[in-house]
Order: sequence, then structure tokens, then C-alpha cells
Amino acid sequence: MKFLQLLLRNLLRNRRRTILTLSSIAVSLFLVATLRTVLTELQSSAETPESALRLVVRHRVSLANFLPIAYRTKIAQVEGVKAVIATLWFGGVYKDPRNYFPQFAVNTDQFFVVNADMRMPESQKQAFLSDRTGAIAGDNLVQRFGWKVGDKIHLQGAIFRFDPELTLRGIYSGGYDGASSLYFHWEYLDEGINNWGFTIMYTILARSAAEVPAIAERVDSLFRNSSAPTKTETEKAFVLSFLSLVGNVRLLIAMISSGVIFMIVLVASNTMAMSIRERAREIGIMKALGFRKRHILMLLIGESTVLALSGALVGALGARAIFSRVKISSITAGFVHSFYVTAGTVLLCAAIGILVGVVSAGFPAWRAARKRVADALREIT
Amino acid sequence: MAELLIEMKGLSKVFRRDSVEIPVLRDINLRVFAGDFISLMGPSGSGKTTLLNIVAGIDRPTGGELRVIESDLLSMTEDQLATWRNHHVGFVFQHFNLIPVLTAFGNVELPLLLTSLNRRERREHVTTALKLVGLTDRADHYPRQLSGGEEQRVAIARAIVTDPTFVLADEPTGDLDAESAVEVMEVLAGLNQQFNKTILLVTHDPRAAAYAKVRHHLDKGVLVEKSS
Repeated sequence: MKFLQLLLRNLLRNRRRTILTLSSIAVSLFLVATLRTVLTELQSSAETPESALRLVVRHRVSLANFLPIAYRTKIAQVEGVKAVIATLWFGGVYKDPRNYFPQFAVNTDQFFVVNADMRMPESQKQAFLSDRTGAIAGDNLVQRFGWKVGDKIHLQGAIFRFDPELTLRGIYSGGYDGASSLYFHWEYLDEGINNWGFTIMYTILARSAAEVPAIAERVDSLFRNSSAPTKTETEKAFVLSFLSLVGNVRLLIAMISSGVIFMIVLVASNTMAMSIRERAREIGIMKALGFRKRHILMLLIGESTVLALSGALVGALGARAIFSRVKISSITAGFVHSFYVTAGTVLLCAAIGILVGVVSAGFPAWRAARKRVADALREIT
Repeated sequence: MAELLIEMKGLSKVFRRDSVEIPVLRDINLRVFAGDFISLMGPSGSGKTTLLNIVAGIDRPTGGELRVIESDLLSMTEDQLATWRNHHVGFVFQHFNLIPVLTAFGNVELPLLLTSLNRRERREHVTTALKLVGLTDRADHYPRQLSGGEEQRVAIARAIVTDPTFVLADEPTGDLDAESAVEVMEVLAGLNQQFNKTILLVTHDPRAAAYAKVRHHLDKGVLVEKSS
């Protein structure tokens, strides 16, 4: 502690250089914190007690293949299944193709049983259930477009040759999708496409969490030898499988983060090397006064570490503060529900800052500490 | 009988630059007793600073014997020498060599950071040292806010704050005007006369050397004459 004043004073010796270095580290760790949070959020779904009881059934080959609507009755009879609904991705256009948001046609009779974590006034639920052309939308989605209950929502079919004309009957909050989707009656869509009779997936509500693995096995066994074999998995596993569609996201993020960290090590190393070189004579004086190698090392590496750690905390905490105020669901059209920079991410960034500080000053500090006093005193600064 | 602090017998120092050998000190025999105020005069390149550095343990002789306060400096490691210097040597440099980011107080306190003194004790020592050099009212000023003479007096305060066994002053008036040089030499003389501080002064200025009790002359690395 008694060396702290000397350490801090040396840090502020060249304020412009210190501020620029700190800023570059802060921006870099802001990026690292953001990337890590992207990975964390993509890998996590909104885990509610209800979502742990849900399974998703899709075609074994790919999500682009359809399942017959007749499967619903059979799935409903599987041991352990409490409720099951068909869920069909509509993928239409609302006014402008850039107004992307998830749209699903669903069986409404058991929709609120399967999605018990969705919160909505009972009157709105009943209004939706009793109106074949009715729709419900998440509150984040409603805020984005400024809708209110009773509004007409016209969608243009992009996948299906059908343009549903819907009436907003309810606004929900909660649920696994971050309240960013729109749901309407599957029967309305099916009639509009000439009773096509297919769906993209089924959502099952299990009676208990213990039965979830067995239900998955039973459902897949039921259709194993059919023309449309199924793959049944938990809702979380289903969401995570989307990540694999964009490749090895984890590796990509790790590579970008490593590149960023390497760059700030170079920047910090340059700063420390310049600073130490400028103070070669001063370091010689200090050694003449009695400062030992470990004192010199401690001061120089300590200075670098304080600088890098400060930058890291500014970056990470800055990311935490900024993203806590940003409606990420609106920006990402519901693809990302929340974007919270966790304390763990902040600590990781702090650890990176410490590592950068130690590594960047290590070699120049070691050289300075080892320099003979007589040689250091001869340095011209 | 005063205590023998420094004894050199046949001390020599040769610098090697690539394949060229440059003898800087040759066969130096010198004894310094407690309470001595000795000046070493000589032209530039005569080896004065080198001799001082060897006594301080900053440099090592090439040959001869050296005992400083009964310690064999030649057998000490760099770190041991650093600790030894902190306890026994007060160094005053020609170019003041104050740390620019520290106030006068901070600069004088610097050697004390290596001791076990607590904050209050360090404050007392620093205040005493600054009082001895007459700069108590400038404690919070940075080196850039001090005159050359004041900076050198702060450097002297830094050199004596640990109450070292002896003070080594290397051209302390080299960068000063006449008036400031007198101020500085008065302080050093005062330390010797009032506190019996042992001082080894290196200078090419005869007016500074005149303050010493014993004057040696160094020429081409050889001690050629002594006067008192």
C-alpha cells in the first residue's frame, strides 16, 4: 500500500497516453463482454419451470420437412403427455420485409395449457380462443409496432399462398420466446391453404419433468418406421440446435475474442515499453536508493496491471450498464430476448485485464529491473 | 579514534568497450573515517564518479581490496547491495534526479518506503530532513516548482533521511549557479560539522572542494595528492 501513491503517480505521468491506452483496453473488453454475452444468451433459453416440462417434436431429417397433423392425436395418447399442440411457422411479411418477427399458427384448444408461463388477462384469452381470425402478440412486439387490442394485422404469405387478416385479441408477457412472437389459429391457416394438413412441429407438455426423457423416446419410437420419422427433444435442446445452423459460433467468438485480447496486449506492451524506457534513469536512481529488483518489478507490473484492469472494468461495466438500458428484443426482432452482462462476465473481463497488465509489462519490467545501476544512471532522458 | 568506514587498497577499475580496455582507476589507496569530509577533485574523465560508484556498491572494481563499514561489497549480490545502500549510503547526484511525479515530501520519503517505519514515523523523519535543509515550507511542491538549489537541497534531504552511515555527493553543485552552490555546500558542511556526518564529495569545482576538511586530487585514475 505504501507504494501505491508512487504507482498511481507514475500512471498519471503522461495522462494522454494513459487515457488512450485505457480507452483502447476499455473498448476491446467491451467487445469481449458483448461477444461472451451473445454466446451466453444464445445458449440459454428463458428457463421457467414450465419450459422444463416442454418438448418439441420435429421431422427427424430437418425442420424444413413437415409432419402430418394426424400425428397430434397419436402423440396425445403417449404415456406421460399432458397436452400437445401443432405449431406451424408462417414466416409472412408485415407491411415491409424488414419488419421481421416470429409468426406461428397453433392449435389454440390446448395452447395456454402448453404455454402456462404466458401471462395474459383471462378475457383476452377467451376473446382469442373464440375468434378464428384472432391473434395474440407478445408485449415486446406490441411495443415495437405500437399495436393495441382490436387492431387489424394483415400478413402477406411468403411461404404459403395465403394472406391472413388477423385481429389482435390479446397481449401476453412471459413465455420462452421473450414475448416477441405472434400466434394465430392453425385451423384458419390450414383452411386458407386448402386443408393442407401438415405442421412444422408439435409442442408437448409433459406431466412431470421425470417423464420427459421417456416421452421423447416413446414419441420417436411411434413414428420411427413412418414416412415422416420424428426427432423429439426438450425445448432447450431445440433452441440450442439453432445455434449449430450458423456454424461453430463458440469457436468463432473465441477466435475473435482472442484476436482482440492479443491486440490489447500489443497496445499495452507498447505503452509500458515506452514508459519504462523513458524512466530508465529514474529506475537507476531508485535502485541506487535501495530499491531491489522485486520492488522495481512490483511497481512496473503493478502500474500496468492497474491500467489494464481499470480499462477492463470500464469496458465490462460499461457494457453491463448500456445493455441493461437497451431493449435488445426490439432490436433483434425477438431473436434475442434478453442481453444481460453477468457478474461472471465482468469478472472474466477483470481477469483478462490483469493478465494483459502482467504480460504486457513483464518483459520490459524484467529488463529494467535487471539493468545494472551504473548503466541505468548513464541513461540520458 | 574515529571508526574506519571505508578502506581501499590497490583498487583499480578497467572498462571494456568491445575489445578496447580503458583503465579508469589505478592503484587507489584511500581511507575514510567516521566524521570525515573528503573531497575528490579532478578533471572530467579522471574516474571520480567511478570511484564514488564503487564505494556505493553501484559498480564493482576490477582489482584491489575494498571494505566499506566492515562489509565485503564484492561478495554481495545486487539485491543485497541495494539493501545495504538503503541503510548506509546517502547519494546526492549532480542532476538532482528527483522523481518528477512526487512532491518534495514524496521524494524525501522514497528511501523510507523500504524500511519498516509506519506512516507517522516516516512523516516525522521526512519533516526533520526537510527542516535540516531549510525547505519545510516547500514540502508539497513538485520539482518543477523548485529552483535548482532547492531541488538539490531536497536531494540532500532524501540522502540523509535514513540517517545513512555516509553521504556520497557526486558533483552536487555541477548544475547550479554560484549562489545556489553556496547554499548546497553550506548544508553539506553543516551536516558534517553539526551531526558528524561522513561525506565523500566529488567535484571539479575548487570552491566546493574548499568546504572539505581533506582534499584529494584524482588524475587519470590515480590519486596524486592530498591536502587539508
